Amino acid sequence: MPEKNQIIQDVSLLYELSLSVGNTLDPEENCYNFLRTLISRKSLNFGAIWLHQSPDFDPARCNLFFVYPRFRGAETSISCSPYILQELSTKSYFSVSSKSPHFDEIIHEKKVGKGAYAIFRLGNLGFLKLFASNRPNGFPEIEMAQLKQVVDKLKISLTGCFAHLQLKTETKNRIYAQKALEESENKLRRIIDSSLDAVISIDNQGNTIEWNAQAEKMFGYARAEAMCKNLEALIIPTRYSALYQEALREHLHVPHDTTASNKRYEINCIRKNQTIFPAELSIATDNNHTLFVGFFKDITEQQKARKEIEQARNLMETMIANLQTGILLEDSSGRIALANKSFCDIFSITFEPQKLIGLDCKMAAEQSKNLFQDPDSFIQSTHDAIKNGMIVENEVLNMADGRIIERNFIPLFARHKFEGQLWQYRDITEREHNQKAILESEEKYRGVLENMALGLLEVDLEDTILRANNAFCQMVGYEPAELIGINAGNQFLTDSYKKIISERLDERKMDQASVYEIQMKRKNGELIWGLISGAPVKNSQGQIVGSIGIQFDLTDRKKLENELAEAKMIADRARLAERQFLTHMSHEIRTPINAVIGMTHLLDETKPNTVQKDYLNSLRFSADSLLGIIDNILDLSKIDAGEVEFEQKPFDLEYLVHSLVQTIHYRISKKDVEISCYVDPSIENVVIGDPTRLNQILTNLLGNATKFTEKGVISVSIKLLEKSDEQYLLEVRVHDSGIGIAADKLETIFEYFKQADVQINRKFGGTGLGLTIVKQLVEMQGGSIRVESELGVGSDFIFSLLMGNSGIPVLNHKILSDIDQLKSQKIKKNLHFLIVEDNLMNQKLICKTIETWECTFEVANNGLEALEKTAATRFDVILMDIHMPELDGCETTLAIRSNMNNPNQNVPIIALTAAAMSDEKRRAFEAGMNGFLTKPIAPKMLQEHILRSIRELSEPIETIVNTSKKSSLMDLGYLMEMSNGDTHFIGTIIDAFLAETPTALKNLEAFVHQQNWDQVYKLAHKMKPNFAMLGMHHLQEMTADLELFVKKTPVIESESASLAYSLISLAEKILPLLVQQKKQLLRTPN
Amino acid sequence: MLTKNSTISLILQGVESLHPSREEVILLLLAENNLPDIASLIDALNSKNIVFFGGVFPGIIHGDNLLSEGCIIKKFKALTPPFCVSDIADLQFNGLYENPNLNIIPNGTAVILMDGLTPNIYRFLDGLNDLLGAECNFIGGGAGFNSFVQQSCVFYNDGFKSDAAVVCIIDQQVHLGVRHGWERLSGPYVATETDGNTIVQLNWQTALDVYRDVVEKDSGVALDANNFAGIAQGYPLGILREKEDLIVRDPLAIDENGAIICIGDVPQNVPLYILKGDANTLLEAAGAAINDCGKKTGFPIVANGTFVVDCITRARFLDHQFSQEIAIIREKLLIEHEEQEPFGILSLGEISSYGETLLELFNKTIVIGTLH
Repeated sequence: MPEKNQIIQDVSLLYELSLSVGNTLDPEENCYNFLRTLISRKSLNFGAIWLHQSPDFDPARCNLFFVYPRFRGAETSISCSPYILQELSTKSYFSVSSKSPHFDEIIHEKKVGKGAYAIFRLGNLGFLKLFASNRPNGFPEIEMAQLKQVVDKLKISLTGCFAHLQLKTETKNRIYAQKALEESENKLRRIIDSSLDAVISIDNQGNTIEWNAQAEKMFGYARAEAMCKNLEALIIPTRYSALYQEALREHLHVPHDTTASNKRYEINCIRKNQTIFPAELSIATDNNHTLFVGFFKDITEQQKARKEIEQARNLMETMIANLQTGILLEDSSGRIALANKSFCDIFSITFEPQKLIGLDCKMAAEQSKNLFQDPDSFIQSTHDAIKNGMIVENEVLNMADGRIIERNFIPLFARHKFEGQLWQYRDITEREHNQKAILESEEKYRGVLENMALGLLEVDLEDTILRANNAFCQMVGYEPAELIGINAGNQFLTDSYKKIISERLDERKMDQASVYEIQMKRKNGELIWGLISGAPVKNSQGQIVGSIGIQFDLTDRKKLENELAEAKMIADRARLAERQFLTHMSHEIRTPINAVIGMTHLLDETKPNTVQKDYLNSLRFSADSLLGIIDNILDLSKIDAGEVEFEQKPFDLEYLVHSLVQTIHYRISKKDVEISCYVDPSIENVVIGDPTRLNQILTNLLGNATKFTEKGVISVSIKLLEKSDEQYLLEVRVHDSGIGIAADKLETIFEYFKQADVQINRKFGGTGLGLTIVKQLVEMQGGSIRVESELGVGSDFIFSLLMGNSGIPVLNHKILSDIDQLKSQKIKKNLHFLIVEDNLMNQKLICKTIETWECTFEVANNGLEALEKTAATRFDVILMDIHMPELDGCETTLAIRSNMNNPNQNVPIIALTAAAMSDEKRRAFEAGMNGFLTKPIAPKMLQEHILRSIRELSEPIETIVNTSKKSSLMDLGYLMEMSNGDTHFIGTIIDAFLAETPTALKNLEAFVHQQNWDQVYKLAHKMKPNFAMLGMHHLQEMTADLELFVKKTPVIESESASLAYSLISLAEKILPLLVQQKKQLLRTPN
Repeated sequence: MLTKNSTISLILQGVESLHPSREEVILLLLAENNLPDIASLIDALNSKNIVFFGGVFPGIIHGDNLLSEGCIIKKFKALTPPFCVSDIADLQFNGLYENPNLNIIPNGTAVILMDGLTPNIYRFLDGLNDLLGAECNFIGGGAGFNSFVQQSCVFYNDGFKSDAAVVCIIDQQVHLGVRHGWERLSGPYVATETDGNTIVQLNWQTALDVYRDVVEKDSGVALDANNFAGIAQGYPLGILREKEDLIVRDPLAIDENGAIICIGDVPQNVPLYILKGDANTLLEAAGAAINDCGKKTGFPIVANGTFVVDCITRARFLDHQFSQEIAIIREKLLIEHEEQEPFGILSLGEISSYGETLLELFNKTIVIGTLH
């Protein structure tokens, strides 16, 4: 049974294998189908089919045709009688196992290990190789015999495939040949049809056998109409028959081949529509059956063109004859063919140009050579030109009579054949002269441009560079040739400057010149600065064609500027640092000195003994000196920094000088020195200026005077030099009869740290800064200072000063006298103070001072505490330190002033600070403080400031106590007098005042707050008569002052505000008193 | 690595945790249930510059588990980037031979995942063998779904495809074991008329008539269209190969004319047998297959991983005993960490070759490749 099954299996397999062959005529696919089935079913590893190149079996050579799987393919050719082919020359198949010595010889594939090959001859085609790794002993004979059957089938099938392939190839080739022939015929037909000539063939009988598309078009007969017709009858008009016949005869008699014998005849032809036209006929012989092939060309247009050429020639001759250029045309034989009038004129030929025709050119040249400056050279150059046969242009010839002639030589060739030569002569004498002049001028100009140190750049309207001189090229680092033709903006400018240049170009287009600075980029990328003076460039017609720029290299200057700016910045920074240092130092030093000085004052109060008093005086002196030095250094630093600000406020000059002299007087009371002062009485008005600075100048000068004068006099005199409605020009002289200054020291006396003598320094002390400060302060106010001195006799320091004229007479200025009054006053007992101060020593000092006045106080350690205390308690005076942590003095003051509910909103606040800078002072007033004191604080000075701030508080009480005495605060005397003692009337007036004034005061406060000075002025002006009526002279004056202050330009804001607030504050105090007054009045019977 | 669910984020997370370089390729084997949107998955992986290829299968094998949901993620050093052969149904006999993209043929293992339901697979395999046979060993299987309805089932960086195969040559040597365990029941018959994967006639008779005679006689069950698939999975067909195992074809269904539709092509005029097997013969075959893998190395087999390509219909036939097939394999492996666990697919056709014999598509066969 198994055998039976095996047989069935074998048969089935052979059946499948035999059917796998011949399914396709493609030999490769045929091989694939067979081998795939065979290898798969028989579990083989690969199969390969090898074929001979020739149709006969060649035992020497075979090529691989197909291998499956393909990756097995290695060698592709077997040659030189190998074993495999030798075997097959006698056998139809054989098997070789890896055990055979010949095994290796037949391996031509990859990955072949142990196993066996089966080789089958495929008839004369070649052979089939199979390999199985699972048949170690070779393929059994029975298997080989079975396979032989299907291999034979494969052989037959492959033979069929190849035969089919060959047939297919031959058929394909035939089809290709046929197609090529058809294509060639079609091509020829297309050529004939597309020919511009009518192509007509006739046979030996003269009948047409070819008639192309152009013939149809030319003669009007369709091909069908024209074919097989007698050509002569068809297209030759009867009257031209003879000519046609002659042409035909001529053609037939001339021996010819098909290509070379073409001859052209011009004949007339007739169209179908009976129109006659000229035609050119060329005839070619084709073959025995064809009489000729004729190519007809319609030459109607040609003939027309010929006529036109004729006309043009005539026109040209006329034109040549009239040309300004002398023309001489020489034919190929050297004879004159044409000459014009200009030629005759140039060579002074008197007869008509036509008469020159036919003359020998050489001879003519020889005859005219003496007309030239250098006859031999003329003959030579003429000869050379003819000999070289090349065009010679713009040859310059100098005539003996001084004319300059330009000559062109043009040899004439037609189709490479020499036809003659043309000579052109032009008189360029004038042009040459002009050009020479221009050249010279240009040369000069170029020389200037090239040699000047400034860069020059010329561009067209598109900013394309037309010219750049050497200096410019050096400036930007390019060679001149690199720059011509490129866009200047793109080349040299960074994007940020391109817009500028575009604007400049627009300006040029509008005929505007301009000068500007611009940054440019050098070839190496370096940036340079140029100062450019640009102007439009115009052509000879005055049109703007571009612009020209003269460039100055600013780079070094810019660099210097930058360095300077940087240096300035560094210096400014250093100065700022110095200022900050000084401010700090000032604050740090003043605070302890304040304590020292304060304590000396307190010690003074403790009734010290004489020795102790001396010590105290020394201590105070030293502290004062130290303070003086600090002040001087600070002042100098301010002056150096240009930070000194000069106030412009009204003051009484005489009073200032007197006060100062009084102070000095006290200081020199122990010396045998008299001190006096003189103020020119013609200075009758209050002056406007900076009293503090003037005080400083005079204090310095008088300080020196007292220092150096042991005996004699010291005086200050102020003389009016000039006066106007606005200004006083004053000369101030400080004289002393002191030690004097040596003449050689006078020049340096105002310099820094200079004293006349080092000995002096030892004896008298001082920093040597005083006079420097004085000089600077005087000069900064527009004045000048000088010194006159004699050693041992004394010195005079004289300076001039310009002061404003307020127009207010000194005598009416009551406030000033009030100050005098204040000086003699003392602080009222039981006032309640708030001391806002973070420094314990200062707190102690101020507290002690206040205690000595028998007043009460509270202390706030900082701004926040101050706000708490002021919210809870109403104080009479607040002393406010400025520099405090958390909330500083100015911020605290602002908070108090801006809070309506704070009972201290209008209470006087006096700033106490160790920083003496003016900006600090301004800040304090702007915050709403009423006074400003610099530490260390002398009790006297503090007392004065307090009194000034609160004098409104102390006086009303006195007024009430002593009503009979006229008070500046309120005086109803005027009303009494006016109403004849009608108290009722006075009561009505007071009522009206009481009704109106609180609102007016509120408005005033609001306007001041808004800095609406116009409204402040109007309101003050309105209130002033009311105050006057009720005898409130102080308020009346304050209102008048306020009017004056706010009228000034610019408004002195801090002063005006301060005055207005004082006015409001005082008025608010007076209002309740007025109510009392009214009550008293109404109680008192008339 | 296995993700129990096939969400894009889980898969992406799993892939990223392997930190693949540009020289490494990610193999993704997805079970068909609860699939993510494959196009979005491809986009997500591409956005991370991952090189990858993969397929969708009726089931996946991980360790001793057979899963119908989830994704196996494997990282290999690649010798070529994954490439795709499209339009397999239209391939000509020399269609793949001239492939300019594969001019470098490296020495590695070609992992092949193709649409298991596309006709003409032998042409694709021939072409692949022509190209790579000299230098590569092959392992792979047909992708697809339990429904046996052809749809997109293989993917790589450039898309999700049907009628296509994705191939990647990895830098691993494979030791192969290929067995099926089916035995001849009747034959040989000549498939006198076939059309691709359809056998119209056997021995010039209607295919079903011949097949039914044999099967009904052996099983005692009357075959009809309804029970055909169930009965036929115990009676596959075997294409003759002298001296080698038969190539099994899976009769899947019958048409109205009595033609038998198989998985995989049946060449016209091929001699074939009707086969029969039982769980024992099949499990024995699995044992033989893993033994084949270990011939070179000895036991336990110390491999970098073990790729199991097991036919879906074989798994169906083994049913609850399928786990034994996996156990038999695991027994022979040294498993010290997860990567050494067997991983694999339930396939629609199996492929394997050392390049010695032709590259054939098998059915109902187990292919085991231990990777070294």
